[in-house]
Amino acid sequence: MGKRQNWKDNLVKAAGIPEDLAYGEPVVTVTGSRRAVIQNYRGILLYTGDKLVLRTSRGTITVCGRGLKILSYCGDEMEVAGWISNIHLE
Amino acid sequence: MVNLWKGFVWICISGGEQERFLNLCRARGIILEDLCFKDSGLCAMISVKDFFRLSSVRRKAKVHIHILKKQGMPFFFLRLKKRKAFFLGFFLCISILIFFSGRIWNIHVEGNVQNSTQQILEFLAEQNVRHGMSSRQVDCSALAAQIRKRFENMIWVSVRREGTQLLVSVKEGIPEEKQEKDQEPCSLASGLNGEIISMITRAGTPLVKPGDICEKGQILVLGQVELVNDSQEITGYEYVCADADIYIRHEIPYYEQFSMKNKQAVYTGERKKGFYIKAGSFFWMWANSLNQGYSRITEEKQVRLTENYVLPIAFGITRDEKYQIQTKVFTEKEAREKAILHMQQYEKKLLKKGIEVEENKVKIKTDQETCTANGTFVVTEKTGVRVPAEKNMIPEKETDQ
Repeated sequence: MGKRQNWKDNLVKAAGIPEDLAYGEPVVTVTGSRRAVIQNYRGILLYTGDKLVLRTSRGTITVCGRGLKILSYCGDEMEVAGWISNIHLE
Repeated sequence: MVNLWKGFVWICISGGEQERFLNLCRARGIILEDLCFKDSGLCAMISVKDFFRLSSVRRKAKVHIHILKKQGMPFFFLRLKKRKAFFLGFFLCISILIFFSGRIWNIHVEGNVQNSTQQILEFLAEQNVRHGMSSRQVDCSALAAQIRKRFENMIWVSVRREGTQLLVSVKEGIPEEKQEKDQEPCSLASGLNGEIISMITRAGTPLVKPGDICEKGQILVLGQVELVNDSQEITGYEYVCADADIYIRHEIPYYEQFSMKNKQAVYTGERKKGFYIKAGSFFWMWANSLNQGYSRITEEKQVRLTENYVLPIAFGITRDEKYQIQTKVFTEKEAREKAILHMQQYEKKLLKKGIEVEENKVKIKTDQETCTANGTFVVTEKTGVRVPAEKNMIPEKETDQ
């Protein structure tokens, strides 16, 4: 498994393929503390007005804040707006 | 705007597994927008088409969905189902507007002085250019050429379309004086009895001079000019059309008589108004019939869509005023003033005909019954009646024997 993972890493590096595309890593783009765009997530685990927990291929992403709204929820991309206090990657 | 056209609804998702509901929607390609968490549950905006796909997802996630608001054109038309006539009328109005804006509704003619607007409009009607016709059928340049050809005194013609108006601009030239064609030789005879005051002869041989008395029918200017040689012998005659300005002084009799008792209509002040509409053979009037003792003044106006587009519809206002006939007897002064007024009106009529009044020899007499103005006007009037000229033989030469 270790060898296979290294082999894969070497291939990705050699081919120059972006990691989020190769490994399905989630991409979080934060604009200030008001907006965040999250890509490559698997689904929503919890959503309340103060907390949003998303499942990814590598674990979970937790967005904490106040008045969180999901502006668009489709496909592989999600846009979250509101007062974002912190984002945890676990 | 796309959502507004297709319609969308605001829904509230409560109970059950709301996160699972969201994941299932995402998996099935159902787009949810503006998701927010409220006390009642999760609120989201979804299109009408996607809403109808929620049933299986709702059953799986065991959630309750409430529709909070419906927005968009489908709901707008549904709400206004009872207003079909309104929208039908609205679209009919738009279509009528579009249709009528492609037609000519006013033909405006400007710059014409010698040729009347009505004349030009009648010519246009002959060329099938009328009010209400399609504006695309009007060939402006060809029409301008036709107008120039028809009206020879127009030196410049422009025809152009501006919206639903056809503008015809013309410029007229100064008409050339038509020279009279060579006429038959003629003499001028007097048409009146009187004294010649002035005489200016341009062609022919004058037989009289200012100060002479002439009679009606007398030849004043002969249409014949003698040709003489160095010995002043007549060698021939040249026959011309006599032309002269001859003014004769003569008298015109004048007589007028009118009664001293005059019936006048005195208005009492009582008035009634009425109204009527006329359209072709249809006539509707909202007024009383004209009673005896009332005089009626009618003011009528014809309905015009545009400047020259007159509809066969007219409306009018009638004003009935009550009057009483009273017999009034003129005083001497009033009778004289009336007689003088009539004389002045007669003098104006003579002046319009070109007859100048030099002296007024009219006497006014009044008695209890009548007022009489009797006398003559001494006037100066132009005369000259053309008569055919007689051709004379050339006199024979006297030979020495």
